[in-house]
Amino acid sequence: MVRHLRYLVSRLLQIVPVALLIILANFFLLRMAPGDMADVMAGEAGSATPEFMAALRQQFGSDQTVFVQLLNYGQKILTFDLGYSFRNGTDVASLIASRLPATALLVGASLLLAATLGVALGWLSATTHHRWISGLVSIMTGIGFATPLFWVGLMLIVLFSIELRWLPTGGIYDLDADYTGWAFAVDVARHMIMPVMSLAIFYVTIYARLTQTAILDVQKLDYVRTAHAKGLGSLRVSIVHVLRNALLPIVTVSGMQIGSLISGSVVVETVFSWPGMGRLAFDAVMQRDLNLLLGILFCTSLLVIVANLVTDFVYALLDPRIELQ
Amino acid sequence: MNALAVNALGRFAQDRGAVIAALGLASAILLAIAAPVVFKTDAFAMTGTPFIWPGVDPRFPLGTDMFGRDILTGIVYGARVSLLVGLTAATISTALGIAVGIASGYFGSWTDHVLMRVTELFQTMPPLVFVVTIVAILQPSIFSIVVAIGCTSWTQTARLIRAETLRIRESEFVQAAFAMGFSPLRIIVKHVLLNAISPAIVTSTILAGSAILTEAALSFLGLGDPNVMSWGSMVGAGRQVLRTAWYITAIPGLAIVLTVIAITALGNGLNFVLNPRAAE
Repeated sequence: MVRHLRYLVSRLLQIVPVALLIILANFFLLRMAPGDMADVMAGEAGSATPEFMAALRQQFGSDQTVFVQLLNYGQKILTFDLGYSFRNGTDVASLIASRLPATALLVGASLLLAATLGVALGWLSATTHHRWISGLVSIMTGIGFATPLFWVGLMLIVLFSIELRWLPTGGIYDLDADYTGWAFAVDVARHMIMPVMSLAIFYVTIYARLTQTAILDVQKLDYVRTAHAKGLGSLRVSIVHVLRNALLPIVTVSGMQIGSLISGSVVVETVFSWPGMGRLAFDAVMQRDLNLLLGILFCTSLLVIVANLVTDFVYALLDPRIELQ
Repeated sequence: MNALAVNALGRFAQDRGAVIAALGLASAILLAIAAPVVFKTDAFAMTGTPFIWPGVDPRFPLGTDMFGRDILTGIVYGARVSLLVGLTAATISTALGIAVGIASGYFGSWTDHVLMRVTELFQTMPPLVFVVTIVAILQPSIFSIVVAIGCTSWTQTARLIRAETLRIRESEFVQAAFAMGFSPLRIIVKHVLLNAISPAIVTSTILAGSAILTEAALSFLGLGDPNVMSWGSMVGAGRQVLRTAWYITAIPGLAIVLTVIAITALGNGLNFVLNPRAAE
């Protein structure tokens, strides 16, 4: 346990430079933007006298040197003070926090679906002798890489909402119906089907390919031959001995996919009016609310760091061969 | 043409998918360049009645959109944007990746340390959110889109080239070049770069494909260049009338899918030619 704790601390220390670089990048992006906070406020107010602008600049510290501004910015961001969104009338941090659960639900469900389906497909194509399954996986990977997520989402809407009338076109729950308890959960699940499908479809093929290669690699190892030689059933060997060990790379890849899943959620949430961070980013773009957009960039980057940390740790727990240093 | 090139061409020709893809892309590029000659009107011109479905009126083979604009003209003009963005963004990110990778692998020590932290930074920020932020700050235009995509998607190439450089640096011919007193620049360009470049070329096709997808997503989100017709913005506009006329959304999407599939197939063919050992 002490070993694990020490590993966790050392990993935490490793991410410090990257976290600092993210703050630095955010700061420079903010400075690249035309105008400062005083201009934004003056723009919101309609007009402002030069004296008022100077007072505002002093208040926000934008009359200070770049270095002092950077220090101020770093200090604020470390206490999760991400500024104020004038268009939405609340502070950026609580706005993002209120949208976090919906995105977590969407991304989490997509990751789960992609991993389960992908591992099943990969296992089937590696262990059965039906070569068409691995052929199908290759074709799906090719098409999956080439298809824009937003287009998949729109085509799903055409099929399932407009033509077949099976599923709602967007939102997270039915605003008109007053569902509670179980009925509410079912309603949310119905709203989730299409967004999750659009987001997961591409990752299913990634997991399938990964599982397939991992299984083919593990199958050649000596302990698998030993298990066969002991007379264990081939299904038992292929699940308990092979699949379990082949799953390790899946954990690593899941952590690496978080960033691109969050990116995907921006378009998918936009298509399905899903009230998460992605949709918030889209609204921020539409309203030209750069402060909010940068806040989202910072928070999602932080999420990716945390996700990587968690995967590393899970990996170390699952695989005792990993040296914890 | 020497024997080596003939041999390489022969290997490429064996990959039927890559040959078809190359021919398809070549004709798409030609058509995109010749668009102003082939079509009398530009993509924004309202030339017909709105909402003509594809295949109904021979004057508009792919139909017209909700403003009566010819969809085929839009697709061809959109190809200009997509192919231009794909090609230039992939070139920028490949060049950046090669520069970072070689500097990191060749000089090692603190250069490597700093550059790898920066690479991690770019790998941590969610790619599309990052690009959206940059384009929103710089104001949407083809230029800002290309810069944003090019400057954010070089990390994979950098890591690949770094690994190759580390391998090549230890090889005997580079040691020999050191011993002969060649300048670092000459060793980097003639010995390291030339040997490390072929995997980077293959990766650049993947980058071109994903740059096209990113540009489409940006235009769909309303961050495209407002002065040009692009496939993503066509999908975004068609979305308003999805209920009654889904073909307006479907056709540009298909154009994106086909283009990116063709580029990927071309990349596979190139991989077969440039890295025969790896492709086996």
